[in-house]
Amino acid sequence: MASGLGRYLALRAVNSIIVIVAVVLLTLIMFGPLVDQQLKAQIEMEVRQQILKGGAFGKYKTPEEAKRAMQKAIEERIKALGLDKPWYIRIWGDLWRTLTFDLGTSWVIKSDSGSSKVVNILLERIPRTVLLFGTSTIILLVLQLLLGAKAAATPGSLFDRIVVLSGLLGYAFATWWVGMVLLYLFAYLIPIFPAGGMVSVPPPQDPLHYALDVAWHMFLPVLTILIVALGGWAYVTRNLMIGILTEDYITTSRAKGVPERKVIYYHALKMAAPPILTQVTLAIASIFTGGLLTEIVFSWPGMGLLYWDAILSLDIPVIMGDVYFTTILIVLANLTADLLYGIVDPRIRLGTGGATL
Amino acid sequence: MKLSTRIRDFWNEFKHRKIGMLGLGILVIIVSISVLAPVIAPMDPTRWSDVNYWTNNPKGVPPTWAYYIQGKVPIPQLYLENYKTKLTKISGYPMIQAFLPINYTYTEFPTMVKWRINLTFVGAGAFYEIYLMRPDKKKVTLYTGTATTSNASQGWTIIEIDATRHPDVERRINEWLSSMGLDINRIQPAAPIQIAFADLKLLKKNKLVPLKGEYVFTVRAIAQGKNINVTQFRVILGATAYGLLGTDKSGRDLFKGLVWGTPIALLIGVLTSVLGVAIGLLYGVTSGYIGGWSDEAMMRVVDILMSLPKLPILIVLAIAYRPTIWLIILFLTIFGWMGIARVSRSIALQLKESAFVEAARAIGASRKRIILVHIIPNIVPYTVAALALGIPDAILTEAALSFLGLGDPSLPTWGAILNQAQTGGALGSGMWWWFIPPGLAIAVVSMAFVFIGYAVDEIVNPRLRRR
Repeated sequence: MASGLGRYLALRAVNSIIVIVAVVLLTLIMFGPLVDQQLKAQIEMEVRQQILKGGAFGKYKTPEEAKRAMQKAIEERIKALGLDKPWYIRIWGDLWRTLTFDLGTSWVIKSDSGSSKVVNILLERIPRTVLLFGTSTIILLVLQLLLGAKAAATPGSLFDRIVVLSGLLGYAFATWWVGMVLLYLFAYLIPIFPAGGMVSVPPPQDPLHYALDVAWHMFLPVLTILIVALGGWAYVTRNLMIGILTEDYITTSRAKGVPERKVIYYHALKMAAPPILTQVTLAIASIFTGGLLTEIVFSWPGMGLLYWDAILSLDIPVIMGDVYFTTILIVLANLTADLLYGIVDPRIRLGTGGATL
Repeated sequence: MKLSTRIRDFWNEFKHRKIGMLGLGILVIIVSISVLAPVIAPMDPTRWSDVNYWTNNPKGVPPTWAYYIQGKVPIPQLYLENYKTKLTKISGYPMIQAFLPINYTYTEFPTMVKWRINLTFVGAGAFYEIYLMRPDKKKVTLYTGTATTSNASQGWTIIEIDATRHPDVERRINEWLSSMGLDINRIQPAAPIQIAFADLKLLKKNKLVPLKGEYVFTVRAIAQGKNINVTQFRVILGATAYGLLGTDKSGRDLFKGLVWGTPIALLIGVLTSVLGVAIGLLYGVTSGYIGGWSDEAMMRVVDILMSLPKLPILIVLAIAYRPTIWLIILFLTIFGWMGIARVSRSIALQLKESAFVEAARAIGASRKRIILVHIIPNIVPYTVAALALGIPDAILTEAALSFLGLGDPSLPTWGAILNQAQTGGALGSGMWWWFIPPGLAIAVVSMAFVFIGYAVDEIVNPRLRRR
């Protein structure tokens, strides 16, 4: 019984690992030369400063001799760091370092606590993004199930048509732009929400007020994600539910006198759960990237705003770290959906096919 | 069935679908705008990011109609060029004065003051002063300077200055204000130059209202030599509203940006989607038709590519290559073919076992011929909806990339305009005309294709029809 689920999850896990390694390799290949250049320039500066500061300059008889000594010192440092080897040899070391979360130091950006370590910068940001994204996803899941099922119960009704239309419109709007409009309306034109950030300045002291303050700041970004994504998700659920509601066993339950409410929200929804989860898996990455851009609009200090800051200051190590952690988060979110899918879908649980998703 | 009858049947079904026809209608308008862009909004689109191209436009002003809706009349853009000169002598040196009068009757301040003066002289050098004579007979010095020449027989200088926020002009105006016991920090005008037009009586009560009446922009220049002349004297006073969609903070005409963004968005969307569908179709059919071990491997590749995080990778590629629009289309295509590949494969698997393919194989048709002639034409209808739905996807992704400042920097894409609005603080300064229209345009174009795709999908896949 466990073998089907186990095999399925193992396949998904291998896939995830390949994805992570591929993304890291790609960033290393793309940014390798830029990072090397920066490192070499830094070494040169350090060596020059050392020689000038240490008073060792007087040791040398001629400027040429000093220059040669400096060159030698620089070359030694480069060799010590292994920078003299070609990139296709060094990349494996870099890959290992990245995978083990040794992400180096940033060029410009610092963490709130003042650290230049890329890992520290990201560790500060990740919980904030997870908070925003997690809250939105949970609300989204619950609401879309309710709305989708309700629309499916009365296909062709006004409510159903609104769900279909908002589903279609959801594909057409850029989440972050909807965020801009909401921010303009409800933070500038009618200032009832904060104009950005995660907490007020200065932040409230006691935990309850702090949580309320964060929720107040989170309201508009979450609303933005909901407005754009909810229609599309509810539309998917509706379509799947309509298909299931015509099945014979549903007619049987109805004939047996099971209340309509129970038929729709229990029997049919249970059957629709696996395909809904498949759709969630497909949609999760797009919701996540939409969320990252929404962070920028609302100055929500998470991983999305970090992309913005890092792109503006061209802080390559930070961008590399951000890409790495974004990939991990998306992969983890997908794995969670896969796991739920595996548990819900009996074909996979019993190992009777369906594993080649 | 003949292709032409199939298309006619399809059209007969399509035209009964309101949402599809709505999408088609929007599409017709969008395509017309794209084709007519050079007529509607004459501009060289590659000069969009060239700041000099827009230098004479008022900066960050709303659309004209927004003024009329509020029952107000905007100040037009004023170009003052008809100047009079007066040549005199002062302690033996020639002195020229040039006057440019303007009867200012508006209730708002000009949003910009710019001048261009061409001064020619014979001698070693010249000293000049630019000032404003106000209706209340007060003189505000705006700018002073000297011009020198190594060529003693003929010297010239061009004084071209945007005085709106120029530090030297601001210093002069501050001096003038404090000479009357006023402090600029208490008044806080939108631009220092506005003080020069302010009603002093009201200014003392901290009210910033323009003084109506005749102003004279004056240049006074003295040459250290024999002769001096002003051969050009032009002042531009910036309008308080501009065109159909106003301007951004660099003075760019946002209507032109919006119009020219249309063909670019269409190009990106259509080309990316067509390429993606073509690649996906070939890949999927090949994989499905060959089957076996290579099918398994090819689908694994699709699985992995599908789970790659699109935006982060595009960010990496865009930073590494600083791409042109063509390279962006290529990058977008990499992420745009896997869905089609899966669908095509599953249909190819069914068709492979069908009678007509068996028959073709029996009479000795080659594998290539079967794929190209018998299988692909039967899958194409299913890809039409995907083709339509791939377009908004590409447009939205490109817009996201441009919003991050990573698009083709030379072109007016809607995402790039929104990026400039975000960095330029459009929300905080209430410049809705800067960020509302581009986002709406993205949505409208995407909507057209979503609607068409939805209608086509309903026809081709009757399973999805509303029951």
